[in-house]
Amino acid sequence: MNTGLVLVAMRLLGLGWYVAASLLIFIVGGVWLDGVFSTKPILTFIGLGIGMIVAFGGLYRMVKPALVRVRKDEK
Amino acid sequence: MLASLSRPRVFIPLAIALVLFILGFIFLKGPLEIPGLKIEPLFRIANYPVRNTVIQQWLAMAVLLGIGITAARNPDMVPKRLQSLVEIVVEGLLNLCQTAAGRENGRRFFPVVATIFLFVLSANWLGIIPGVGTVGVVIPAEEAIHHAEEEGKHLEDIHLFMMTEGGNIPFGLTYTLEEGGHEHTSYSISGEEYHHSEEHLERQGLTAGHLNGFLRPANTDVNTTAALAIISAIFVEFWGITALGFFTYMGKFFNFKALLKGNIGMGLVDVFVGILEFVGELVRLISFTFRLFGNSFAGEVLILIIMFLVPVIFPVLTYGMELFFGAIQAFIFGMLTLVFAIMAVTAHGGEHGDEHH
Repeated sequence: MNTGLVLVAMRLLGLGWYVAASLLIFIVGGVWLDGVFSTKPILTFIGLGIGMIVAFGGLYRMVKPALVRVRKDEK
Repeated sequence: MLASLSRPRVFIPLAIALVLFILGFIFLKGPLEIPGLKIEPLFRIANYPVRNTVIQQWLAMAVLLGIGITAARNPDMVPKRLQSLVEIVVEGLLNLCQTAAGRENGRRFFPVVATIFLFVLSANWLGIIPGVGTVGVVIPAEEAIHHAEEEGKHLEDIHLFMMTEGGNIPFGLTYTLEEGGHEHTSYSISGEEYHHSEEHLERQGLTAGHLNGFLRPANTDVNTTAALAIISAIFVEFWGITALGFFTYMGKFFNFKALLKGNIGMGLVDVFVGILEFVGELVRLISFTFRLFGNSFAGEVLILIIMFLVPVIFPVLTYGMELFFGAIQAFIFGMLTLVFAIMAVTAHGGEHGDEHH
């Protein structure tokens, strides 16, 4: 068993969770703040935007080292 | 494949299996009570509610302790069966930790990673022995309805379970809800139906209620998995802080160095990466908790449904699958703890170095 590769793969197990949760956290936050400041739906959309940026930023950061590692192994 | 089917050695067992399978599906439908997410306490110790999942956890700990103590009581240079089994498992885990995290860190992480792995494994495997979830106290229908109504459930949404007055749940239980009405074979009855036909059911020697098992797979309780996730997270943060120092470690999340120097572009990126790390940390807790909980709970429900639909032959396959999934889930939980521990003790630059090439 290639332990290094297994470890890299393990990190990718959390990808789906990460994307779902980061979207959810920021959207729910936006909806809540909209309720507080009664600015419906502006902050919800801002939350969605930030959530997407955080989701894809994190996705990139998690996948990149895995790709680098796989390429290294192929060489 | 098809050619080998025509051989009697293959064909006869297959045909018998198929016949049993169909007969089971028609005549032997097992009881089906889908377990709820909320678990009633069995008893209380000084106001601390003891649920059946907690007892199962104690059982898992007792089994681990028992095996450990028995194996280590008279250690031999040439190990006997139990001792060599334990040695294989422990050495395997230790080697895994050391190859992944290096010799020193590996030995540091090993106790927690191995404990989590072994505990989850034994809890999962103990959850599929016969008697778990099927032997317990019966909560009478009135009490169950009362509890459910207190939670704001409507009468027709309350699911009760048909059983004989002695509290047994036989295979193929049939009953009628009213005089001369058509026969039911379902094991589940709603609170409303029970209210209407309580006396009639009594005349048939039947009653309804809820079964609160003495034992229930430990990981089907979200409290267990959340506790494991929190323990794992606390250790990971602790290792990170002791390895890098408090301020360096926290610098992962709150990185304002470039911003303070006046480099706004890089500074904003650093702050953003800090947010990513922080969200990642939160998500990890959630994913650890619900991955194990979801798998265990789904496994429990799957076994019950298979028992209900095809009680012959098929459950064996399902049990085998559950054994496999139990091991996989334990491995994943342990390995993820190890992976995050390694990431926590790695200095910030290490991973970045990789990314820039």
